[in-house]
Amino acid sequence: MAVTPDEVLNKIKEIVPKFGVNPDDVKAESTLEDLDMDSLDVVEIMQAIEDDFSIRVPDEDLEELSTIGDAVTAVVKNG
Amino acid sequence: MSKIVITGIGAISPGGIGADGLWDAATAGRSLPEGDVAVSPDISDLLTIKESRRLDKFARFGLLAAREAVAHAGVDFEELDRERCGAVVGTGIGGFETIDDGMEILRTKGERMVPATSVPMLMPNAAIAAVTKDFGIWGPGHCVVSACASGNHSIGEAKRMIEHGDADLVVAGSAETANRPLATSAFRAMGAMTSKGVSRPFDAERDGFVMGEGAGMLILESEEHAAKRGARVLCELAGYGASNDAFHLVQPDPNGRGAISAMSKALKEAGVDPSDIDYINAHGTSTPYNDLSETKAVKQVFGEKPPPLSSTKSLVGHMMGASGSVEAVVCVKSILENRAHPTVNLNTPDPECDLDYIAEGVREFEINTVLSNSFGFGGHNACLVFKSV
Repeated sequence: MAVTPDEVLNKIKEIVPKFGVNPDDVKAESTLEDLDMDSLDVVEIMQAIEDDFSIRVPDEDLEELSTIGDAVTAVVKNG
Repeated sequence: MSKIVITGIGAISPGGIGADGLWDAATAGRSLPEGDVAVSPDISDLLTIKESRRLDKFARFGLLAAREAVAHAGVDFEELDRERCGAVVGTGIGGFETIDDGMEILRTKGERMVPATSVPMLMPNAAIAAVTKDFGIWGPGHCVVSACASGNHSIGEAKRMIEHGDADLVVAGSAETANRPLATSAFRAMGAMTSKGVSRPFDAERDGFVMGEGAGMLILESEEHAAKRGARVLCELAGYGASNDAFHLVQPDPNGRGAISAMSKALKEAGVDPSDIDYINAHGTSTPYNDLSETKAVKQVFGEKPPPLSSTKSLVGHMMGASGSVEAVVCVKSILENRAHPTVNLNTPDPECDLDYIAEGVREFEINTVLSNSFGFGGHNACLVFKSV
């Protein structure tokens, strides 16, 4: 079953408090810098998403991420 | 050679948050609640999510104790030559929580779900990494691992760092949070932890330790450096002595050869005679082996009139790699206040352990020179001598 962008964005919002980030600050156009997050955070978010949606996002799809929207797109593409 | 002085102290222990929490618990003379694992202090409100989320519990403990010691010493690293500031932060195991949780994830969810930050969180040097990054300490730094002697070794090696000319000020101590079933089950199987739920060092009924988690931290400086920045000096770290038993993986040498060697070296370096020592903070784990061999070793070093001793471990638990540095904080307090805390639960004297173990309650007397012992699994011994200024 396909995963929708809203489902992925909501999942990310659910995870970010663990990183000390306010979920209300998470928007598709938010960059990692905006949210004071780094590439290790992205790895953790992707692990949680892969676990939750039972999908696998290849590493090459995660190389060019700069915004939350890019992450959502990468997940939806593989969903 | 310049004296090495202590200008700040910090601690996290089952006695509470802070050096004062530790000292209050020790001087209150209350035994730990019954059980073989002491309850750890709750530090969850003391670090933000961002500060704590890439730190294992032992690193969080170490960081908090270091912040307390730095504040206590009135150190502002921005005002110092940070290349001349160092850190030595030891541990017995390292990020045990991260290892334990990571193995669970690996087994239940598979390789792909293992947190990417596992290694930098579980490594034994994770606490010193946190401390140096927090303060911007640019000089030398490393992690000393020698089981239950890690704390004393860390403080001793930090002393060497200053004496050798590599640093003027060093944050020195250790941290340990290993209250996880892998450790407790193993200690129980070994018979090292008490089966009766009571730590009673040097008592005839002693049958093992109560395990605790904690961190202790000191600020060490050359006397000149402390004077230059107008720091208040708490006491001197006068001597450090280290040795190995090379006898058995976990049992101390029954004749105490290694312990005698480490104590003697520490006294010699401090330039004091055995008769100058006013008080000994014993390793005193409450295991049958340690307390007997430590008693024998003390008799060998001190002859006819050994000074009074007490063990901190029945009051706040055995904090493994953190024990030496937490007890160093106790030694500093003992010198400052001329008071020694009791060895609580020592009620039934052991005919073979016949020293003056301060069991009656807090003893007030002039305390100028203190010896602190730490002996670790693996046969590693490290002793420190503190002197009033």
